Amino acid sequence: MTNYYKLGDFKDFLIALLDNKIVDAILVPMKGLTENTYSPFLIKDRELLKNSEPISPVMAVNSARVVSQLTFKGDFLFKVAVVLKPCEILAFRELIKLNQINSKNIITICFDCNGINSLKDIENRREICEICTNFTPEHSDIKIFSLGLSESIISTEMDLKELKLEEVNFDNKKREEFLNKKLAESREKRKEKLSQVKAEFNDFLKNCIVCKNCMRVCPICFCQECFFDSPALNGNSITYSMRASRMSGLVFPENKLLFHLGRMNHMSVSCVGCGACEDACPAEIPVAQMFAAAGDELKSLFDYQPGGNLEEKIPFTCYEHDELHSFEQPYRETRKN
Amino acid sequence: MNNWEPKIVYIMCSWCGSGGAETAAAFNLKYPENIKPFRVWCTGGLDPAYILRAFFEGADGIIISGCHPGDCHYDIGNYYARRRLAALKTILKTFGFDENRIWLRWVGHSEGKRLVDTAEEFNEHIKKLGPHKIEN
Repeated sequence: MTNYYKLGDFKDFLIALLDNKIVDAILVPMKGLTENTYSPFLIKDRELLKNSEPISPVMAVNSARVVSQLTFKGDFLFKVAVVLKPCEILAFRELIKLNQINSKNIITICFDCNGINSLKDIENRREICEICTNFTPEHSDIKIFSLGLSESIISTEMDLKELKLEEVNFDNKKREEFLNKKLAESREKRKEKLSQVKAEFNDFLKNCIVCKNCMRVCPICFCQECFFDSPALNGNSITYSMRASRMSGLVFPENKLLFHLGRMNHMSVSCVGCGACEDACPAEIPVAQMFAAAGDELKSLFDYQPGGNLEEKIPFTCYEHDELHSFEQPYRETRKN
Repeated sequence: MNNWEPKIVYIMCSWCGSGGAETAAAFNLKYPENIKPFRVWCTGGLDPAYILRAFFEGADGIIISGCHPGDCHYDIGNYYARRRLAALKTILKTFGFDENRIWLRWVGHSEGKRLVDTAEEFNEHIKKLGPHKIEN
């Protein structure tokens, strides 16, 4: 049964969770030492929690990646609440499927996200957030609704009686109306923006410096060793001179297109659109939008949504006997021997 | 451009594609000499990055042949291959690259003629399309 409570202050709610021993620690973004830096902290101290910023205006690191680092070698031995954005919770669930997160003893708290700001330009909303279609907390244990409402509401199936929160009768109608409107708007924007990105794809890549920051901050790119880092891609002087004679000249750093197209093949079907890659890119390439364009095609091809049903397998790890025949070349016997 | 010979890589699995080539040899069937066979253990082990790499190293076209669905030596490898190739072709198409330079056609161990036909048909198909211009 779903219970609805009035939220009040987000920080007080987290402190109450800690005080009532519902959880023993909380992973939540907190303001760093300097201005405008926010990073996830694993906090056990209630005094420290007063400085936290659950709804941080930027995303320095995808928290799902942090959780993966924390639990990769085993479950938490105590209860931990994790505050995640909607895109982070999709990444969190996708990493559970990829066996990178042990989700035992983790309680997820997620909220309605209104988009966050770019790390480079702290004043403005990120472009990927403008075209985001997953801004609601779908799969978390504790959901916090705020979009289209005058006050924030906690929605949960957990028993939170000990917290002595004020119970409310929540009417979802107004919120749903607002969400549908917002979703339709962002879908339209997404279509327009992505077709533009597809057309300018080659121009964007000319600026790429192959620093592979996008790969390193990506929550889905979990491989310890990446194919694109391997020495297999380095040629010797003969192969380089052959390449140079074949093309008009060689551009360095090389493997721009191979890196991006290859990485798209490997993970864009699981891309959750968190935009960490775009934030990390020093050449200001809209990497997240490129991956969203490829990912949308693949998701509709395989009818798959990342971070959705945990029973559903990732497309490249399952198959069907009778499918995708349009990608096979039909054989017509044309030659007579 | 009349003398232009396309560079084509024929990726075949070690059980059916290569077997098809053996059968073709047994029947003295010939395929064009600009086609370079490349054996992989199973098409299921073929990473799309290898196919992309072949393009950037100068290949004009790539054919992939594995066992017929349901016939894979490892039971299910070719089903995975089909999914990966479908993804690769979709991505190439999305960003305006020519996805028709990649063909996937199943060839059984005994189908020597089918392998030779595929090689010749693809060679002519690529000759029509012309050199592949893709810069890494």
